[in-house]
Amino acid sequence: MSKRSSVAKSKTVVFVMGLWFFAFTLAWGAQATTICDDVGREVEIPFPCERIISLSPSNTEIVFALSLAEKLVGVTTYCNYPEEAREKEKVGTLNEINLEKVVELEPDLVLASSLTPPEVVGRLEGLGITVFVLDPHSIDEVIGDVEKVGIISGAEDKGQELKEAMEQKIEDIKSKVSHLSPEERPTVFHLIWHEPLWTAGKDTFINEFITLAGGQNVVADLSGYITVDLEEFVRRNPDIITVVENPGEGGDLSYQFLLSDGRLRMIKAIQDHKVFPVDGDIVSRSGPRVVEALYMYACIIHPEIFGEYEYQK
Amino acid sequence: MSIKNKKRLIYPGLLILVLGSIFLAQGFGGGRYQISDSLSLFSSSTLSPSERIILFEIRLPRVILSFLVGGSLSLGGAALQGVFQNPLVDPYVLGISSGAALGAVIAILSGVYLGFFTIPLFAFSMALFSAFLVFHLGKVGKKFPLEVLLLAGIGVGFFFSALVSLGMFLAGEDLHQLIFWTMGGFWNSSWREVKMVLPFLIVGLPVLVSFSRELNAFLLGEKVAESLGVEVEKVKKWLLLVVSLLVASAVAVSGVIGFVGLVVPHLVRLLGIRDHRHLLPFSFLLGGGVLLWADTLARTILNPVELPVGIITNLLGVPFFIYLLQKRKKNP
Repeated sequence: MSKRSSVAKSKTVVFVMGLWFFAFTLAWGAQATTICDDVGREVEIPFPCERIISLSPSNTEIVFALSLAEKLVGVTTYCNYPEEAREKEKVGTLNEINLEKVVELEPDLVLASSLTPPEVVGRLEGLGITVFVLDPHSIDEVIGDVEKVGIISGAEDKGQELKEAMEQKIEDIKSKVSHLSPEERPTVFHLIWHEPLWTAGKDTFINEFITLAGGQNVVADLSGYITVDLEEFVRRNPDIITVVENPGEGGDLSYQFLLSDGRLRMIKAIQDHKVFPVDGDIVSRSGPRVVEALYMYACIIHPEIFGEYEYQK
Repeated sequence: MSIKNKKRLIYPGLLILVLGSIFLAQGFGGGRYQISDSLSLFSSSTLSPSERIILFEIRLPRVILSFLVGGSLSLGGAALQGVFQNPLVDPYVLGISSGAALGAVIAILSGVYLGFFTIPLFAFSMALFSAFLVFHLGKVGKKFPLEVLLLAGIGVGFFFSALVSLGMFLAGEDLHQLIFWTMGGFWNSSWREVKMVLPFLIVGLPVLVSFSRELNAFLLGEKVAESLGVEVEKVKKWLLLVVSLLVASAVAVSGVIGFVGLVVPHLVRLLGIRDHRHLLPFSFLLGGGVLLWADTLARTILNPVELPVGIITNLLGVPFFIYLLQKRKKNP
């Protein structure tokens, strides 16, 4: 009886130890293979990661920049850059995702955005699909996201390379404007849409482009994307105006408004012909092209340092 | 004091209120009130060119346009409530607002650009189109039975709203333009918009007031009106036509602004004025004043950020509307 019980005891001990060991390796393994996304979710790195779906144009741009085009099996209807993205299978718009389509494409990884409805993220997770949410709020965070997507999708080296290249370009621009005094930093107003005047205050990418490129956002006291009074626009009298232009008919209505409305005639930027159209896709997407956007602003604000800005349709 | 004397006082009183409002509203800008801005209406010699633009090309036309639009909507509402003998009718009952919104959607999504007036023109045409569609659907033989007209208006309104939603769903990157438009506002109002609505008011106001006697007869019901010698169908047709033009022009320059047209005529009736000879001009003046102040609020409280004025009118209008309903329950 005592023998049997001691055998049972030692068996139990072994079993418990085994359990501990098992749990420990599990925990260790989990720790090593999870990564935190932009909304604080711990996401397990999928292995292998052969099929990726992107739920936003900026995510699509990141995937292409990491040379993972072949793994990209689904995108949104808004994904138009690079050109090849248009040929990928569509799974919906930014906030209207066709769940069936996503599941049917059997992705190993879905790259969601801040505009992806949280219910969609939850549903996909429930179906056992790895979802990684990207929601960067600054250029640094975009670079961080490029790195993370590189790690999670098995393109770590490429991600590192891209990260360094982006940082290099930003450093380059920063160093060239660092000596400028406040008086040498012109005021800039960014117009997204004219009816009502819709602009970008602080805590936006536009604000970061303007500031890093050696300018001052004329509405830096306001926060986020806001509509402002026409009076206030005239009163603040910016030195430079950048205006979003979209492809297609009617994409330059706001630009036309700036050039043709007589009430704006006393604004410095209008008098000095410093009204510059900028590509809406480049300046509004939190993808690898943020450095391109930053360089555009550098040319617009300081052509004497960076060369004349040329708008390309 | 007799009712007659009271009315004699109310007219000049209201006129002074309106002129005073314009004077005061002209002083609100940049989030504060400055008496010098108001006084600039009388002497503007010391202003810099930028200040001159701000005060006379941006602020003043906006103050005046908000007054004219508010006046048009409330005048239209008063006349239609009279025609339909229904207190819940607003100037958009003929589907004009959803028609106008659909026009704006078409203009924005098609990318057609014919000058600054593109969107107002599309909105105006579609608003009239929807009104005529409602007339046509509401016609039974040679008559326009009121319930049929109302239902036709609701039906067309819903249908066009569905098309607007479809447009918004498909709009993609143009979505914000549509949302801003449908919220209603006087963002970029200039003298051009004032010139667009003024002719309709100059013709519409006297024409509508000239129908006061008939509208008063309508208060007693269509049958009684007919027996009093009112050519009911003809009057209805004319009133609906004039109101449609008036409201369509207002919506075209400002987007859909709610509740002014519904609530203000009731406010005037609460003052004891039910005779359309007075109800119509009073509604015009009071509606103008209300929207003028709502817009002043919209551009001042969060300055320099602008609120859509439609939000303000609805926020203030709904509680008042509920109050009216409560009052009616107690005192039918």
